[in-house]
Amino acid sequence: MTPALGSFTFMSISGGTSAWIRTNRGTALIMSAVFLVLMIYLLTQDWVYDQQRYGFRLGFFTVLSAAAMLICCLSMVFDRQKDQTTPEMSMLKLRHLGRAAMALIIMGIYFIFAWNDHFAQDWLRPILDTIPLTGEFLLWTPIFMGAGMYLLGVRPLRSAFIAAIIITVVIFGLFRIIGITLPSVLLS
Amino acid sequence: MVNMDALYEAIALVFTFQTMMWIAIGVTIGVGVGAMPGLTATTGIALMLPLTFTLDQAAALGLLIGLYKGAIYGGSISAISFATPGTSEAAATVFDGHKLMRRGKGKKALLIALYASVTADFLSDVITILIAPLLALVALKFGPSERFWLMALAVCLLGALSGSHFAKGMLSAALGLFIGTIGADPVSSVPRNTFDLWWLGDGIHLIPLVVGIFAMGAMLEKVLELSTAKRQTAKITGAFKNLFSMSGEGLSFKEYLSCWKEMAIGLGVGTFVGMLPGLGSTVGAFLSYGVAKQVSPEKKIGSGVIEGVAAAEAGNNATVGPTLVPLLAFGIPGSAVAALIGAALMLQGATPGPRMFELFPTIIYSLFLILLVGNIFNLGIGRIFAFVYAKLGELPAPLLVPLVMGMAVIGAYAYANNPWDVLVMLIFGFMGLLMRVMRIPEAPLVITFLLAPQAEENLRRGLLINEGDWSAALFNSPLAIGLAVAVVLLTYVSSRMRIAERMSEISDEQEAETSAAEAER
Repeated sequence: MTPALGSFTFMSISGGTSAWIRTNRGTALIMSAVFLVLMIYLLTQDWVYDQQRYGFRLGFFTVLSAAAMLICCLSMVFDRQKDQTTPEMSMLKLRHLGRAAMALIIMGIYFIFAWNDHFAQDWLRPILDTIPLTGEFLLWTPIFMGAGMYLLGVRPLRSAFIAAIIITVVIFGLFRIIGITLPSVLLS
Repeated sequence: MVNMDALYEAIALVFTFQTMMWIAIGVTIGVGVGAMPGLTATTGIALMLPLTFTLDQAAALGLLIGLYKGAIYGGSISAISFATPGTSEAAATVFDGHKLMRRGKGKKALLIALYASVTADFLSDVITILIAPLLALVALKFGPSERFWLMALAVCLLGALSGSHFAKGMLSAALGLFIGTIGADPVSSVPRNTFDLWWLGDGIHLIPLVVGIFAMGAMLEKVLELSTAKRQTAKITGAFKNLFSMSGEGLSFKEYLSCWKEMAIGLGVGTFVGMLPGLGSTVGAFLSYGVAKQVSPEKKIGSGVIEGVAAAEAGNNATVGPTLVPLLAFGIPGSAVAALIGAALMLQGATPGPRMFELFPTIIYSLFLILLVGNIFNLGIGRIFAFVYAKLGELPAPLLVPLVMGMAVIGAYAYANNPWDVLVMLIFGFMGLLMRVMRIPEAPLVITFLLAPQAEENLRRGLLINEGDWSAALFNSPLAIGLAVAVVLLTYVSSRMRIAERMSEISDEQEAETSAAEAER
């Protein structure tokens, strides 16, 4: 993932299936399959055919956009750049996507802990109630931010957490000034 | 015709301590965002957008426009100091700027970058102020079918000129249209395309979408870069040492004036490029630099001269004001930043478009005044703190990434106190990462997402006027037919002549030079 974004260097790729799947043609075929399924799903929905005033059907733009996505992907399968790949794509491994998904899950957990708010009211509430100080931005933000900084390479550990605490306090103060109250059990 | 009452009201709104403070904050954050590699004007504005709903109109515009101006200039600081452009817009500044730096003329390079940026920015703002109302007058004569085809044309232009692959640009636009149809339809408020999820009933909100795509997506890419690169530890102690220590030869007024031709080229090229949907400030900088090199071979641009820095910086900053012209005149954002500024206007209750000049003249005049005043703040803050920002560029990315990710969560939630917005932002963050990896441009997605409800409203209004006759609704005037033909021609020409690919080839050569400059470093 080292090539800088914004670099316009593209490469042609040759080799086995794993290399082929990283080309525009490979990714376009995968996306085409996804959009084809989406298109079939849409065409089976009743709301798509709901007729509004003067003959306009509710699903017109939705189906049009899904068809456009499918056409774009299919054109990528056959166009001049079909055998090219991007440097990022050529180096991408499944574990990289796993890491990105993990980072997002951690951000979701951070949100739940720091705001004491969540996506599934019924089943998450009893679990959250057992964790002390949920909804304390000033506690959970330095913990998550400091750990993140350390994991990404800030050394020593003390510096990562000191930086995280300072940043948290500054953010908390600045948001208070502009009228956005961040959650704090201790200060409320 | 100038509405004097509205102008006086705008002056009273803009020249208050609060608005001035927010412009200053915007420029200060913007220059920092631009100077730090990995953060762009779009990321910065996406992160700040949720905060603007707590501010009044002038303050909100001041914050965002200040940030935009600051970020476009700020990219030059790390480009000159470390040959690492803070933003892609500043890549052309590296060629001459960093060579000057290595010759001990870094201060001179930073100063000409600042002065050329502010000069071209100010003059292009004046052109924007003159042109936008005239175009809006023309746009007011358009009916629903003309407006529909104009939007279609803008989307095709975006697809053709964004990125280097026409199909990918159009795919991004189609994705934006699809996402834009999620939730209640804009005319009769009937829910649709919600995948039977109740929390999608209200549709996808713009803020979680842009924060996810632009900020979270960029940071996820950084996380992968940092985790796959050879383990490097970053010590943050000492980063703030010698903040004001940069010494060297300054810039004389005569030297500044000697760059008039390059600044004029930057102004012309940047203004033109800025007004066209899809091109943006990076193309403005590279084209301006390339033209200046051709026009004045005797100045040896590329060998480390201030004229090269002036051409590149004037070229990118001259796009700042003109990028708002399509937004204000036609209601069509020509770039991701214009889309975000348009979103801020919508959050303030003013839908961008030609009718804005009639309905919200105070906001329009405030915007124009802020465009002009922002340059003074950019000049002052850039002049005093450029050397501090140069050191900020050395701050390690591991420090920055968790901060931006945290801000993204705060921004997505603070907008409506809705936890589902955070989930939507995280999902779009992943999508943003995939788009970056596959080099699918993000701007067409966001712009089409914003245009989708307007396009649908116009088409349905056309059907209503023509009592369900589709051909009359779509082609009811020679202009509508002309625009429809232009859409077809543009699509054909773009796919056959590979316009985007050729544009990127020009940048490609310049990128190779950037890499060489970095290698020399």
